[in-house]
Amino acid sequence: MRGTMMEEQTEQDVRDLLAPLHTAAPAAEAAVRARAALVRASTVRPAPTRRGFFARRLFVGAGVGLPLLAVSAVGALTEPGTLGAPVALLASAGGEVAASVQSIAAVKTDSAGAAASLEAKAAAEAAVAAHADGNGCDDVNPAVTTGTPVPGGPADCSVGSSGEHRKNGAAAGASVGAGAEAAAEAHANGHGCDDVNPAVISGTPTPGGPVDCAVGNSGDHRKNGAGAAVDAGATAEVDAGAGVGIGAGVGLGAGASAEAHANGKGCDDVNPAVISGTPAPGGPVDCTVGNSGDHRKNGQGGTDAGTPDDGATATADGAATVDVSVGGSGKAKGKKP
Amino acid sequence: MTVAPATGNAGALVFPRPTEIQQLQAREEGAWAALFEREYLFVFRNLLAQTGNRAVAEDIAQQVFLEALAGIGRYRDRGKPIRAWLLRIGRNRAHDWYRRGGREEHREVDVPTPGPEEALTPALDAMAALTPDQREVVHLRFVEGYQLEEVAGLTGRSVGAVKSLQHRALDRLRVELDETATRRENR
Repeated sequence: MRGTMMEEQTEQDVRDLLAPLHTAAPAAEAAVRARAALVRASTVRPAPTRRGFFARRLFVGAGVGLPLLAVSAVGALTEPGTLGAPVALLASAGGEVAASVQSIAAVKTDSAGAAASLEAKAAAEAAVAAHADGNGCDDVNPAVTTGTPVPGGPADCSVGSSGEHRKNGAAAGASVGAGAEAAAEAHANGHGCDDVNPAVISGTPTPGGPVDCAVGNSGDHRKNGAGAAVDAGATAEVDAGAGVGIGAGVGLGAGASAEAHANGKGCDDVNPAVISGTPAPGGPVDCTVGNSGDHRKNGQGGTDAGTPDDGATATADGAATVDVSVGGSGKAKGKKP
Repeated sequence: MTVAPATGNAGALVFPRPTEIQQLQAREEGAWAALFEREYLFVFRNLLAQTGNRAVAEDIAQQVFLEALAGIGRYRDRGKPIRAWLLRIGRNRAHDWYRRGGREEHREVDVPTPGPEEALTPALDAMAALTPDQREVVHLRFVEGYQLEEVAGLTGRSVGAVKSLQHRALDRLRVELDETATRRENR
């Protein structure tokens, strides 16, 4: 009870003590100033706090991009070795580098194409020169400088390997002139070039082409030789300059084969390799008409299988392709007009 | 404009009507002027009790209303009077002023003026002996005349918490009153 009375007395004393606070008032100027500021602020529309989608993206982009640009600009202006300068230079030169790379790639492609064409041209010229003697390139090849032609094409001959190599060599030689004449003369006796081949000077034609004959191998060799044996001279003289000696030989050979089959026995009875007088199964090695049964049938009716006209046409085509590609195109067209 | 000084109890708490809140959020000048006329003296006296400095109380009172205007869009009616919201804003601003050491700084340069200000000095000195929370409760209870429940509603405290703050504040003020009486006797 006494405590409560003291507390009530204290409360009353406090009220009396704080009474001046109850009557305190701000200065009139301060109140007017505060009211005017509030009214003025209430008439001003605040900036929208909710920004749109693009505004936020713009803000983020500016926050990220502007510092980078500032750093790059400061780095480029202050020192060339700072981090900003290379970044700025890279950023500016990026397009130029890409363009340069593309141009370099283009130049490289062109250079590769030009180099390839130049190499092909040089190889073709060298191959033609190496084959000018009619012996292929075996005798002049640096890798095989034995002076003796060996079977199989040399490693660095761009003309071809093995049989193709020799044929092409003959073609190249014929295109030059001397090789074609030699090949034609070697086949002039109708025995192919086996009997005059320096590597196989047995005097007897043997199956399989000699290593240094540019006309062909095996059956093809003899057939071509037989074709060349008829009137290869004139044809070679006419067309050798244009590189068509082989084609001419094939065409004439086809005509000879047709004559050999005129008796209805095929060419077996007149073939120098099988001079038995009796047609035997299997076609002879130098008959261009065909083999075996087909050979005889074709031989009987093979007058139109090979005509001089066809041979001449094939010759012209073969010559036209020799200069461009010394490979098998001339051979193929020459063999089968 | 004339601001009539409060002469008595602050009166019953005014709970805002929904239309008033909408007008305030619409930044209508009339609504804000009415709010200023009604609450400015209360805010000023509370800040004067908190800071003990008239000029500072005037400046912070102006900031309170401007901050209320800026944040009226976020105001949500929770069944409390707007005065409670203004009181919280003023408490935060006064707290910022305390953290900057403003009370000690201004007490040194504040020269009491004769007249009514001289009678105000003992009250401000007594309030300076209390904590901010105790000052708030004492101001609402013994200056504005609110009941414990009303003080609890305005400050966001429980009635028990208000009683506890009031009890400690009275104990402290009793000591101050005894010392004041002793000084008067010694004179």
